[in-house]
Amino acid sequence: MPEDGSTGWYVYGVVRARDRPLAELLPSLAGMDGGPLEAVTDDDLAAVVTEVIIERPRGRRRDLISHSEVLNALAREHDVVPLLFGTVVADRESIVTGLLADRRPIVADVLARTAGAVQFNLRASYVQDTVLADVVRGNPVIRDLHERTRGIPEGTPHPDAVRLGQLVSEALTLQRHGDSGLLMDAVLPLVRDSRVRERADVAHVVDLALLVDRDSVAMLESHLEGIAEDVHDRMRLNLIGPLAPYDFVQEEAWA
Amino acid sequence: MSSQALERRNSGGYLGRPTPSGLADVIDIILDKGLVIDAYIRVSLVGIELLTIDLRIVIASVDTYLRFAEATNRLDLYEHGGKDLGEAIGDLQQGGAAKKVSGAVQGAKKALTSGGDDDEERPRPRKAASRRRQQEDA
Repeated sequence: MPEDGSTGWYVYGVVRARDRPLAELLPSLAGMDGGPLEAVTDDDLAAVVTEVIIERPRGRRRDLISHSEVLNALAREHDVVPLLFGTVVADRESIVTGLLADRRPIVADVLARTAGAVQFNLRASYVQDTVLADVVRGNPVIRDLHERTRGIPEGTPHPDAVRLGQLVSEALTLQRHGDSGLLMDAVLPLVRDSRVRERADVAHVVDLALLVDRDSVAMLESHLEGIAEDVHDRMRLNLIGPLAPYDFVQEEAWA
Repeated sequence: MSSQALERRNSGGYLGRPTPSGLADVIDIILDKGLVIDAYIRVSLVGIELLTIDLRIVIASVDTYLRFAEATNRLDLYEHGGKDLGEAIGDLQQGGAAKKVSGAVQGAKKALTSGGDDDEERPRPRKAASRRRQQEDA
């Protein structure tokens, strides 16, 4: 790498450096642009970084995946504070002053809140046809509109079709209220913290970020497997993780 | 049990455990998430903005309602026709009085005390109490 200012340091996140040889902190995988992972330390904190060419824009698929792979690999072994995707700092001194020193209280706060935990994303979606069929059968007005609009070509903004879609949307919203509430009541007692992630499509029920104690992961998985079996005729549950605690960097949820 | 139910099982279980490998999945997980620091050099993020719009913003409108209507009408509830009707006719006009409703997650958290083991069997809440947008607990 040239030392003429055309390179900077891509920063993935921050881990605790105490009591561990630096070599043990770093997952054995390549980082951004295939470069090696390095640690920049200040007292008990270490930023995990890769030297990169500054000029090249970040945003390719490979960049996003590299960012998440490194952070998720770190999260499997350590508590980690993820940085926003695309964070490149000019030099190693700036990592120490601008992140590890200046932001120490925030970093320490996130590390404290997420200590010993990992994030899982739980996504529930309806088996669309089953739930829609329930909606049609359960509501005479919708059933009537359904019958009347069957001959209308898709994409035609016929008033009856719009009305049908509106009523179906409202019926699904009501179901979503209830189902997401039931699911959260069953799951949230098993996790340390949670955030509702925004998402919207026809089949969507709820998308949750869960902060889970490492010791509780197996119990959560087993519990969710039971729920997934119980509801499988009308709902699908997908659990993604373990992940770095991306949704728990902010103390409060994003408004 | 539908065929869909069977094909979605992973490793013998009902709980799906997908590995996020697709771009949309990764964006969904990491975008806008993480600590922001002052010392960074701003780098351009090619293409991200458009993808963000696709993933995050759904405005309920005539267009959205038609999607619901079409999904409903593709159902073959009565075992006649239905599925062949959708020769896509374009020229969708969005000018109508689009009622905006929140496309965001909505859900009234019910005060169940049981922990839900039995209640999860077949949750069919037809009458959720509240329609306010969920803000708490988020």
